[in-house]
Amino acid sequence: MNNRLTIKELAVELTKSTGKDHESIERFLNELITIVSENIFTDRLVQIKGIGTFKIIQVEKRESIDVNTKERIVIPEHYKLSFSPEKDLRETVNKPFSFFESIEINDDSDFASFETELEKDKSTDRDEDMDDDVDAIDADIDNLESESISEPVVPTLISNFKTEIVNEKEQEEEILNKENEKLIEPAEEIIEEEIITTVEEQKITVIEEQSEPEIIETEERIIAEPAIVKPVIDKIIEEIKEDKPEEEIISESVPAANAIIQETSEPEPIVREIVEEVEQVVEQRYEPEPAIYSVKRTNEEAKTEQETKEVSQEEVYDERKVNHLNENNMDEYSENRRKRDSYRDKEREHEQRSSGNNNNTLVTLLLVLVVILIIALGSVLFMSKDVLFQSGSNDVAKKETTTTTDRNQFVLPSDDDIESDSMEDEWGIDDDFDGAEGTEKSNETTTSPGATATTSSSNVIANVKTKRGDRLNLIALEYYGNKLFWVYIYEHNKSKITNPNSIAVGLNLEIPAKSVYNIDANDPASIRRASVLQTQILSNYPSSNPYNQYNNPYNQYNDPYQNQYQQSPNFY
Amino acid sequence: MKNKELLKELATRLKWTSGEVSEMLSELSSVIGSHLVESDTISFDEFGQFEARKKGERISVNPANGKRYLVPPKLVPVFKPSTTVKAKLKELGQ
Repeated sequence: MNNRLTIKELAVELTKSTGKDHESIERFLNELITIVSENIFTDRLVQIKGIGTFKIIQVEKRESIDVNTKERIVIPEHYKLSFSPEKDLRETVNKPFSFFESIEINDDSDFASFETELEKDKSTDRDEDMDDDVDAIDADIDNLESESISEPVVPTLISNFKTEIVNEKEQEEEILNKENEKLIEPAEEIIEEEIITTVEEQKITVIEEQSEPEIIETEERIIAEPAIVKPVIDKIIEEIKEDKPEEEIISESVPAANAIIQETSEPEPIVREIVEEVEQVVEQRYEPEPAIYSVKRTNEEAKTEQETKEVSQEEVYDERKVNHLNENNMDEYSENRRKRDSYRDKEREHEQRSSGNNNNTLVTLLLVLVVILIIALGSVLFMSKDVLFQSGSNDVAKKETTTTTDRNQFVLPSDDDIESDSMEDEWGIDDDFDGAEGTEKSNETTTSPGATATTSSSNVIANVKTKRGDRLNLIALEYYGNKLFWVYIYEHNKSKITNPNSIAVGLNLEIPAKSVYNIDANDPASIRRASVLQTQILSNYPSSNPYNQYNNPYNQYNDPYQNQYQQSPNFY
Repeated sequence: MKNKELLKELATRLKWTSGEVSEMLSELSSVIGSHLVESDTISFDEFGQFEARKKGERISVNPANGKRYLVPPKLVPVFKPSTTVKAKLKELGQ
């Protein structure tokens, strides 16, 4: 390696392989060279089989500029010795890179932005563990493939959905806001705030709880069945709009009803029912939200998928390399394929099931609508009687908050968690299928229960149980918005992480709060601090990137392309 | 000078058979190849040295259809002529 071989050393090698005596081989080599160097000047061309062709080429005179004096000079006509290696030799020498192939570049891919992006990511990405890389590459292949399958559908879908969803979301929010106002109007200011917060918290928890287990389903459903989902959302929204005036009446009437209960202390089942119904309505109303939420998610993911697709396209070289290095990888890959096929079947099943669910929700919504109408009539009657409306509202507001907490209990049953867990087991292949994104997703599903549980301690915002294919920088991206901040996760969990380049599976990582390390993804100074820390940390851990290892033997060449080439693992 | 002429010349000078010479040459080429792969340089005094160089990746355009291709990096065997050969080349030009 990296040796300078002379004729003598070469002769030693040849004696080993041919069995001829050392002296005659040395003589052979010397004769060969003298013949070649003599004949090259007489014939101007020497062909040696197995090595190549030496040629003397005439170089025309040309104008140039003197580097030192900046004057125009003429380089006179001269000769140069060219060597063109034979194909066999060329192929043997290029063996380490032989699995590379030219890749067609899409016209629309913007290289300038690519390079800067990669520049940014390079430092973090390149130092990933080999295993991680293999995973990521697998994932990329999968993405690439799934992308190519769904490509004709997805982009149009996305654009359609984006606009619709934005509109719908806005409408929804308006309605909800109005509702809140209406609900709160009779109540006192402080309680008003309480209600807002509780209602909003409620909303969020409902969204989280409902969307998480369903996220995967809804995503698939939405991607696969735009025609079904869209009208459903539309209808729900229409219904909500229709509901609205009634809801106002009810919300006003509920205090009245409650007040009567309080005053008379006579249990009136109808009034109780009303309260419950209102709750149901509110809950029903929240239901469309998760769907939209997940639709948004899919949009975002689809976008990132598109981006990663481009990147993954570039990583094909990388992947080939790793495949080349690791034959087992191929097996793994084909296994993933098989898994994915079974996954697709399940997907189809889900589509069917979920479309049935949609119909069910529609029916229940209609039923609720009818019930609300009846209740509204009843409550109007109550209102006309009611004189104690104002004084009762205070208690009602309290009641409202308690009911929200009740609801809280309703939406946070342990069954849900179990369900989502089992679902994940069932969908465990998702990990392999979606790769980076899949793990991110499953990450979220596993972390959020922990996140809600640990919000009480101010220093830790979440607990993450590491999974196969997880990387610190991906976790950082998820929680802080920038990959560079993985250093703080590492700092915080130093005792658990032995090597930041390869985190063990099953670790329970604590995600420190942003305030602890002054993390701000929008603050360049904060990012700079992180990157300084990163170089410090990484200097302790030699990079284990297979590409770098591979690349090392050629570092000696020190050629101008070196840097450019160093980028290529990311570039591809 | 073609390969056949070279073999003949070598055989006569070494008093080997042309079969031996060609066998030795092919062996030599495989040894050179294996060493270049390991990024060794093989230097023949008075003539020059062989080494492997890495050509960086590049983007090339197919002039026929205007498509852009990312050409992968590759290792190429190169020959660097020695100073004596260079001097002779200079003489040739004058």
